[in-house]
Amino acid sequence: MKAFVRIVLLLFVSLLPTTTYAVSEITIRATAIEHAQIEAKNVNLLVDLMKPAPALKLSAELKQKAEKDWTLLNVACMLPQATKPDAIDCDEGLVKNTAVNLPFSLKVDHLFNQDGFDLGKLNAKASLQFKNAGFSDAAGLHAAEKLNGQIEFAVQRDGAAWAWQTSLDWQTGELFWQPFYVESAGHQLNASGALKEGVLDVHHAHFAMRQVGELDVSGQLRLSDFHPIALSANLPNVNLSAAYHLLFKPLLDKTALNNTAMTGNASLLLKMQNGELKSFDLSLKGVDITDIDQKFALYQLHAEIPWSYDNPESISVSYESGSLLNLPLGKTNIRAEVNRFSLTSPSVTLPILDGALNLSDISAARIGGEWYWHLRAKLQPISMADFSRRLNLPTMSGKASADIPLVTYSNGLLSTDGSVMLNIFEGTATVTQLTMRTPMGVAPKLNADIALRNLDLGDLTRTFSFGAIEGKLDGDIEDLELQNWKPVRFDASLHSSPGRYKKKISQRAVENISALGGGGAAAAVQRSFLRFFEQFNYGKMGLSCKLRHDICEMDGVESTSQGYVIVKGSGIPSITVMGYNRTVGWGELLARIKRVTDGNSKAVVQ
Amino acid sequence: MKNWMLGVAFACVLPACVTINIYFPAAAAEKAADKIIDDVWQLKNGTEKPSVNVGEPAAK
Amino acid sequence: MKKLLAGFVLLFGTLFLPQLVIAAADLEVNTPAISAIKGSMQARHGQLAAHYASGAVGLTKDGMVAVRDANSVPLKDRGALNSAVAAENADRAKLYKEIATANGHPEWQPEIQSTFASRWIDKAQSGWWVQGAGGWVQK
Repeated sequence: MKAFVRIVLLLFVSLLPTTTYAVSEITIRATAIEHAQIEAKNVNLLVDLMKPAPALKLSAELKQKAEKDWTLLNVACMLPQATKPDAIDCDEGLVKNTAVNLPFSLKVDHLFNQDGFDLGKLNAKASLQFKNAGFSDAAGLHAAEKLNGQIEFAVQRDGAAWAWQTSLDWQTGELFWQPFYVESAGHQLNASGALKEGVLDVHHAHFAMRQVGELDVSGQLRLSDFHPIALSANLPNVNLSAAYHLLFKPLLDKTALNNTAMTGNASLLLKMQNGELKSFDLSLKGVDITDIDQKFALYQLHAEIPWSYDNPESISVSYESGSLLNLPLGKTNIRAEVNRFSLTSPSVTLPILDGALNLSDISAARIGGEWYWHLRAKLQPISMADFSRRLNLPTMSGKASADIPLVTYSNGLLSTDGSVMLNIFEGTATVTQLTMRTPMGVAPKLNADIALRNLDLGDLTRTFSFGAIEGKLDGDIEDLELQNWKPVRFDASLHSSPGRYKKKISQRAVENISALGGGGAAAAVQRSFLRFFEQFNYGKMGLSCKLRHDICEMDGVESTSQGYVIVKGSGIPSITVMGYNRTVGWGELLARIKRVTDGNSKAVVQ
Repeated sequence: MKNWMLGVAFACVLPACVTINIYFPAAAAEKAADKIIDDVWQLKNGTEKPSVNVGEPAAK
Repeated sequence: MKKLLAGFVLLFGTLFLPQLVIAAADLEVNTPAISAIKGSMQARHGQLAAHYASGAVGLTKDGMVAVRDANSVPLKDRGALNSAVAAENADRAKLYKEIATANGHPEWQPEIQSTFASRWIDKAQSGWWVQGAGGWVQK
């Protein structure tokens, strides 16, 4: 390539003699210099021959032709002495433009072997010290401030290659390199390698990260496009509490692990080839993870997670104890097989409260950056009393168990095949067509059909302090949709189960049911001697609600010309509760239920 | 004589039988957007105070 | 015969009229999902408002937000700024989608997003940075 240099205007070259026999100072100034790629302006070069040692001072503004911003370069150097012709000592260095502010001093120990200035025999050693340096890109996403440190660099010709060594001592300053932030430095790097045919070979690099741990790296990098040809990294002992904030939190921003506290140790061995992960071996020792929002916690987590692109591996994870949404988790051991991007495990048992969740036939795969998995789940009976107390629900009795033949997760959608059976209130709740979208996200969505059979009304009414009813309850809640755990649509119908059993309703329950119907229902029940009875017999009872657009369309067990029957009496004394309002606002109905269960309700009884 | 009128009427109506085009309700969408933006940016809650200090206790 | 046919046509026309009436009604924006997303955005606004005012974050022309110039934000807070911007954009995308589905027309999402884009920018306070056709401008 033909270099093209044009000095547009040379102002003057002055040779100022202070004595008659020697030139003492040379000044060169140019307002503009053009080169094929580089432009310079306001160039000011001063060579002072009279100081104890000869010195050179350069100031110039430079830019690449294509760019807009000028970069200011200042430097003052002591010129080499005859005894050491290639030693240069520069001070007051400054590189400054809109993005970079780099004050520096540069010390070149030697550039060549003693036998001459042949470029082929380059053998340079230099150190660069930067003080209070900073840089930033336009958006401020890659930036550093107040950097102080020192870089030492040496390079020698080694046959066809260049051998290099470097060490970096980052003393103070802070750096933000999206998404990482590193402050209070004190980190060191020592590295050596070779450069040949555009490939940077790192034989060995050793990082010492203050408080976090040590990292050893080797690899090869193609410089033309920064393509990593090979990389192997070894972090033998990482302190997770320091590393979490520095390295992991920014990477886990969009996961459930983005707001946790971690303690314990980890080690990681990793190999990449041609930009692809070939293998890693992660091991965790005595790790405690607690979510700051107390959604979950795991204590004394141990894990051995090997992975290889070529070979199947076995992984094992165990923890002593933990919690999930206030439910305690017992000691758990998990074993699984990983085969490239898929994971399988025959069974995992998670002890929860006095029962356990058994997961079996687990199979997961990562395809195109998304997880897909399916499994079979079985909940061994857990005590509802304990369960409801932990979740701050009204205290329920009995035991809950469930059996889900197939749970699948794909494309952000969790769905179940078959039915989820829960044994509650001495009856059963069967959930079918259950699907969930983003259960942990901002607006979780749930769809399901629920069938309730033979729930014990005595247990149920005691639990929700509704006023005692004896009997059994069936119910069907179809086409249920919850958004953010609030119902937006369903077709629900609750009614006394068919069959022969004791059917008694207390006066308080009658009042409460009347109150649910609003004023209209209460007016239908006239004051009479019946209010002196503690309880009544009933033949059947039921209430249905079809929820659409926040309006509940209500019905009972029978329709009459004016309204609908909620409780149909039987025997003597007989009592019948009627409802008249067929449409009730959902919010209003919830408020009524709350008033009733809070015990503030007052209704008129026949 | 009336044939062409009938033709026009058919031309208008027949496509409607096949696909019912409900055009995007731009005005309603704008109204909905305004309502949500007012809520999120807490505009129109009394005076239009900047919400920078929301949640921060006053200096004592 | 022709009269009969014309009558049919008229009848058909009136049958489809109600569809047009529905289209003119208000959009449903009061579902729990939309409220939840709105609540999440409201809570975040306290944090983002300062960044809108300083110009660190601007409103984009596609109804999102973006880091425009974080240089006024201390380095140690830039990670949090980035997370807030990413979370806000995730919420906004979900909001537009949710409004479209709540009204039974998932295909309206792009139009809803562009409606919002112009309304956010119109309602931005003076001094905030918004993205016009030619790039960032200060209101």
